[in-house]
Amino acid sequence: MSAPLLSIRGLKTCFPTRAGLVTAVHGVDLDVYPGECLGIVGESGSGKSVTFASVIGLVRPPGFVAAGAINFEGIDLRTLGSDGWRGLRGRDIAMTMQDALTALNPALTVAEQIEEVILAHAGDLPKRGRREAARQRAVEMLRLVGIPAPEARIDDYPHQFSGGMRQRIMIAIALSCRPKLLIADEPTTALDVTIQAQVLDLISELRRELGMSVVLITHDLGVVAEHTDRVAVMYAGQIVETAPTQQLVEQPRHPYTRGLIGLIPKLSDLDAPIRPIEGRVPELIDLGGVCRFYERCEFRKAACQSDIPMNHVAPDRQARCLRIDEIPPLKEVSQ
Amino acid sequence: MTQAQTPPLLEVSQLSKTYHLNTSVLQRLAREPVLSLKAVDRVSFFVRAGETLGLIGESGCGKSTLARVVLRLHEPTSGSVVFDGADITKLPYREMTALRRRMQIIFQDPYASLNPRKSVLEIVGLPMAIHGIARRSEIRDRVVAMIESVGLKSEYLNRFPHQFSGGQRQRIGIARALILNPSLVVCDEPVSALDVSVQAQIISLLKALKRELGLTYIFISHDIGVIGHVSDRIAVMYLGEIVEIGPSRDLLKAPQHPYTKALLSSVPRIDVRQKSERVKLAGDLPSPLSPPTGCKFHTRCPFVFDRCRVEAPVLRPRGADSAAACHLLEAP
Repeated sequence: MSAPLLSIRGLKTCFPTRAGLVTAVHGVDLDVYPGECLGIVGESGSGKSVTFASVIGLVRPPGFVAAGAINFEGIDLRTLGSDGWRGLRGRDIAMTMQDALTALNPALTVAEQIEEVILAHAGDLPKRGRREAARQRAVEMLRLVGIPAPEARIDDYPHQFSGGMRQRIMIAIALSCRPKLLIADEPTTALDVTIQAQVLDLISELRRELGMSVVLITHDLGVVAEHTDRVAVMYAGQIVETAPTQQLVEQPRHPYTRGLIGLIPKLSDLDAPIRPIEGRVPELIDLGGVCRFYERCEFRKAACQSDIPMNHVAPDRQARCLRIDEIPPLKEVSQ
Repeated sequence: MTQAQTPPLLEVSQLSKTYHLNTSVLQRLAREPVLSLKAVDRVSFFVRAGETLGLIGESGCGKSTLARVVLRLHEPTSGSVVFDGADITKLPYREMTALRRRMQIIFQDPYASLNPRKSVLEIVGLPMAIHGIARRSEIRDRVVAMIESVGLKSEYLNRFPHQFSGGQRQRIGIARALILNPSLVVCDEPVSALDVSVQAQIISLLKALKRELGLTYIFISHDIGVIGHVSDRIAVMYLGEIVEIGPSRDLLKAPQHPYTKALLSSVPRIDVRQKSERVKLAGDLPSPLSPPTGCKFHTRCPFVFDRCRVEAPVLRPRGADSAAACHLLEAP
């Protein structure tokens, strides 16, 4: 396999709160390879968004990255100064936020918001008529993401667009400098399914066209199954399983992943009962010395009361579980 | 099965709800045109006692408005709602209040639908106090029994909503809806605000309660997986109209209306290999303020032909228990 584009090792991100220090991300190791689409799946509070906010240097104070190494194309992102970030964010790494309405500036037109990025980063604009060239490129971006009549709509404000269209505008801004890595944080959560399908198809198409890597953060395993190559499942601040997507949905190995898949209602088998995972996610304060899924796990044993490392299941699969070899495989989903 | 012979618990015919916009004094002085928004447009369906009717559609299609009009939380503009033999749209206030004991609702947002200043005892006990059906001493006992049956501990009785998680709050909402022992419960997106693992807990609870208490549900959701799992029959809504209705199994396996096909094939699924060919929809939902002429779906339908642009199709029976509104399905 080629060298990873982004490499995260031992990432730990904390937030001081009145109740104590919350470790939202605890020891995350992750690689993103050129051209792949990596899915990050987990429930709210599992640390999936915080992991990538840490990568792009946007952890909101008083939160802070406490430990770990983040490497993007040989650059150590943790030591990057604000000038370094300015050259990188928007150009090589771009991120789309979950809520397109609050992420776009309501007081600026769409044209101003896309041109700003292009003027800041694109080195190949002609000296004369830079603004016209930037506007031209902004129109092209809007056309690329499927906004009808982009020349006419580009001077509109965000509120004049529907939710799906706003999400497309965010994608247009993120892609306007052809980044090597796009981080898409829940890009379709607020959208209806028919619009969601349009936006996700668009991201997949653009990925192939531009040859970029995509990290797709979502809580929806269905989205992961249809749109990603590889997936990492997060639970309570840790990655509990990584695997090629098809293998993960058909033969999940970690008890939490098995649970997640067991509780999704399947349209192909209406009689299959949905089995809830009982209990709740633990508070992320002073955890340690026990598997984080211990309280809810149907396969737990005494030895699980220790810090569990990631164990190799297959060359490209890992799971944070001591008992992967003993747990019987789940009935294959597609039968 | 002789279900078909028993009269339905609820029968809705030609029900409409129109909202008028721009009606403020200033807007009238400025002579802005009054806009009418048909949130629900001549909808007819029935619900049999003991069944779950799933109501599905995208945001803005009118499913929540329909639920509120059916319960007469909003007054309908026209049409009738017959509940257990009585047309509730014509009932005077006092009789309507008495009838409300038998029709309850569970709301979507477990954060906004509970009064933050009331304890669990007050929230769940209030319906009994309003309807005067239990003495104060009895209320406490019945609330305890109720919250235990929805999976909460009796020591939570004096706690306040902010002390609970989203899933627990939804359990409180369910307890409040069921304490009066209703026949019909409208579940308006009861699990949409919850994480998947909590979602599954609430769905199994609702299914168990239905079995134990013999409830009838109208279950609203935009999540087809959830709807498929809880419903006996499913109605699909688009821009205020029902475009297809039928038994869950048939509707999910062999959808008839192009919109249902598109909706089903857009759902991201983990059993990718079983998916049918995607029916792609172009564009967004049209504005309900100026719905398209003819068939309201014709602007996005991949199978549109001339007739669709001028003539609105009506919901016609297709097989024993199904109906769909589409010109394509009618024999030429």
